[in-house]
Amino acid sequence: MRSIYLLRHGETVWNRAKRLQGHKDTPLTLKGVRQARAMGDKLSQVLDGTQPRAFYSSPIGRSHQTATIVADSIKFDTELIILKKELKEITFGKWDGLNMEEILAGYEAIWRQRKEVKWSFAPPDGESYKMASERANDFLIGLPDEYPTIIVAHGSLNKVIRGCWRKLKAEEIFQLDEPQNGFYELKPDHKEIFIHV
Amino acid sequence: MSATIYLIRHGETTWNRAGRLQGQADSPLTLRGTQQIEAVSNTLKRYLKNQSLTFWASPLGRTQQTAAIICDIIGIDFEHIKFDERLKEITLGSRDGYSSWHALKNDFPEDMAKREEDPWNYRHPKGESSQMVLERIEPFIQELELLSGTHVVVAHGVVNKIFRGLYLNLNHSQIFALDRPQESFHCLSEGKVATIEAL
Repeated sequence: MRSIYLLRHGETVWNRAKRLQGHKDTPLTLKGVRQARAMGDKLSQVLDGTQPRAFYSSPIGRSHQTATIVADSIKFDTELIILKKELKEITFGKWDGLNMEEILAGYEAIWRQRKEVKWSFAPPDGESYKMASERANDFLIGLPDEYPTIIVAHGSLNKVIRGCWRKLKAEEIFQLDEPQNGFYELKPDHKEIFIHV
Repeated sequence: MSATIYLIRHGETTWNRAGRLQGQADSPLTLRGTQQIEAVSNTLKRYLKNQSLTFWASPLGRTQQTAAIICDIIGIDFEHIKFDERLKEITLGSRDGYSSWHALKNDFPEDMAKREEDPWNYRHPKGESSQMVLERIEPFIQELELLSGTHVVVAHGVVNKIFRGLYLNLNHSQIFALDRPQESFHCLSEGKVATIEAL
């Protein structure tokens, strides 16, 4: 199984409140905890007794919490989870923690600019998709040949990881989803399949 | 004394499981930790009878995560939690995150001998003594008593021991002897402390 399993953290308090998180953090909701358990149980089925040879997580709280629940569910030693700063969510800079209404109230002109240059656009003090895609690509290239590999990270970051893996164009990457009720298996042939819990 | 306080410790963390000292450093809840808190919340819900309550928590990650689960189960909005710095765990300063008590004793025998002489006032380098924790918890309890009503408080092993010790007017060795359960919690009311089993 030369596959990478790519998971997003479970629902958080700010996901529910529709606030951008970026590098800020809030805890998982009860639903988010249950999503993490369900992903762990499903992964356990899929792996069918095989232990992952590498398990990476974003160091941000919501991902590390999700990774821990998933690791416990598949009986993988949580001490062996490797936290990688390259897997942190795209930061929206000054917009981290805001909802759409607050962004429009404070930054409407900048928000409108975004439409024209979405791929290279960075919010004030934030990161662009282009920048995040570069670090995701470096991370993927640097991965040792240790399969199965598990990665637990974030909504936007996982989109750019899938984009790099599948060699997608910018506009295709923006179309990708950010599910919390399942995860992606990245296949060696640079395709992916969604595994619903 | 007219406040009723439900005092809860966070669920098991990966460092609790590994015997690592946390202090004000932090690690995520284990799967079991999340299950403990679901059980605690379901039991707590039976004790709360639609009365209005104030929800307090330590701002550290493990207590925020614990509080988020409890809130969803008992029907409180997470945004209404009052995070209070005074509820943070005792810090062991530069020893926060140390691999175990055993390792600490091996690596710093002189420090640990000093601790033996006066454990209540002992401070790890840059850390807090139990007395210092008591001094930040005491005004917090007084505040709740003044507010009266029902309060849920989510905090930590050592903090919750000192909290109960203050409430019951225990001496230092009695406080050290208290337990730090994660599958039960305490109800502090009318000068008494009751243990409520959740599992």
